[in-house]
Amino acid sequence: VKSGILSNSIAEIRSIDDLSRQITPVHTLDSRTKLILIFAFVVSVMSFPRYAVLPLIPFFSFPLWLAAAGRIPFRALVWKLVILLPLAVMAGFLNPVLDTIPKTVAPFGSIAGGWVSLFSILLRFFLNAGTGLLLIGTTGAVSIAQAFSALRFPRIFGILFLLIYRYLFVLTDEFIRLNRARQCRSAKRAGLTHILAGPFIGTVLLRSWDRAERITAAMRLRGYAGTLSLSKPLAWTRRDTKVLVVWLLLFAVFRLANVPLLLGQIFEGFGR
Amino acid sequence: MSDALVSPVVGGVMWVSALAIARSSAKKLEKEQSENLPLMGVAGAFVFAAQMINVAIPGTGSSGHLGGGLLLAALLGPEAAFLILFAVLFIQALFFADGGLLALGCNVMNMGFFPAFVAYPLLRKALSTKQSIPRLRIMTAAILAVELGAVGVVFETALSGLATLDWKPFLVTFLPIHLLIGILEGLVTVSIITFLVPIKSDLFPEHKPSVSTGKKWIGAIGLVIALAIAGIGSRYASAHPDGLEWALSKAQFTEATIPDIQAKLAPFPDYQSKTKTDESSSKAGLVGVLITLAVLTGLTLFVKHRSSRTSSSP
Repeated sequence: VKSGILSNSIAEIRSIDDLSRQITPVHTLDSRTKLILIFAFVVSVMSFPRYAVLPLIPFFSFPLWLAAAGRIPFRALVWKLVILLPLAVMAGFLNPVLDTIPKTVAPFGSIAGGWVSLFSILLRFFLNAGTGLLLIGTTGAVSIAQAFSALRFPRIFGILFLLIYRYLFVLTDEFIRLNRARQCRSAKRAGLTHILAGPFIGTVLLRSWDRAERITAAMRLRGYAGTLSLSKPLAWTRRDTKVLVVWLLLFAVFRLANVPLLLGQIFEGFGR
Repeated sequence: MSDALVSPVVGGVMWVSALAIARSSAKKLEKEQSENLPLMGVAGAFVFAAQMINVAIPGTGSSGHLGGGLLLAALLGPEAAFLILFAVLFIQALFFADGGLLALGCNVMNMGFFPAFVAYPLLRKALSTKQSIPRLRIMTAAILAVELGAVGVVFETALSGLATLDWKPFLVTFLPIHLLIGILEGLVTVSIITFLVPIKSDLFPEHKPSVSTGKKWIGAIGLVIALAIAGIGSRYASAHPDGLEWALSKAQFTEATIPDIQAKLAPFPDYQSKTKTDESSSKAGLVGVLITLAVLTGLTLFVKHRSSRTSSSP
């Protein structure tokens, strides 16, 4: 059993969690504002037709703003996206083979439509995945759970979101501990045999559950009664309204007008 | 499945369905006061970890991995299982950009609805009688759940119309792969349940005989209808150029007719659909991209500079 994948992912979650504790113009926005904006963003980006490339580019302004104003290191973000890139490539790498309708693209002349749609898929991936990561990096799990209940999601959903998030650390701890114990006792046998798999995974579950029950008992003793009471209540300010309106308007403009094409045409008009 | 291949109409309809089921599940749990929060949290974390090991399936925009829905349903009941999967997939979409927010509704339905509300009822009775463990039944239910989910992915992708791959070859590649995944899912579920039952028999709630079986079928029929509407909506929506463009290109119209219709419908025709002015507007596009990128870089640097000046570190 490779504990590497699991512990790497946990380390990644921790690093994102740390970023979300900063105080910046983006972090101090109400989490509802960010959640609404990101949904509007994803829907606008995804509503373009298959070959759209140019009109997608202005949408990069939103993640760039989140990252710049929220002081999220660009390099780490881009690196995370690059690691995920193979998944996006997998989604469209057959397109150039399957779709050979020629399209004219300025510097390259005529190319197969599949290349254009593949490029479009990659752009959408960078836009959506990047913005999603930025949401959590500038908001944090607790505030997102708060926003859920404020946006009328079922009460238990917010609690589950937080609990699963927290217990991931508990489970990983137990897994790594048990795996180390198994390795110490299995001498030269490297992997986990299929006979051991059920009991092993079952034991990880039981041990984590025991620990989770102790945690819940401790929470109850400290006043937990089924609802989350958080120290920082959500507060909608005028700045939230302003940010929300400005970005929603921009999304609408980017969606309805092909901004780069218009800019190019205006520029060429001046040149003549 | 990933955001890159879901249209907003399909994604939206699936989101609404998923939210509606989540709401009624949450109500039911609250009414019965049967929330076992520690176990729900741990089981959720467990399924999360299991789903992290996944293999991309070429050309389809989807990846194959364990779902865990059936195990959750067996441990905590179908309502809790559905809610947990919703939360797990949400965290995956946010932290790992896995799947994506728009596709979340689809993913929740594919990996939550089918195992919890369609496959699990098949073994509910067998599990509650406390005799021998119904291994074969668990296997069958797991395979059924995974295959139904796979069919769901194919149909949602086809209805969205963003993928190039036609739905028939898609289905032909997808189902056998998911048969393997279903078998693996069944084996894992069987081995964990086999281990847990003798140690913690109280883990498996003795379910009351299901009263609302009829309602579940209504739910399934509702889903099919919703999907059909989404399909019609995304393909033939009257004033929506994207869906129309898709339908036209599928119907083998000549290249020339599409721009004509599109020019009438779209406020600004997309760059790919030029006939006469193809070359020139393409150039304009390139120049425009350069300007846009320059503007974006400038603004980003400006905002970054201002943010680091005005705000303080924690």
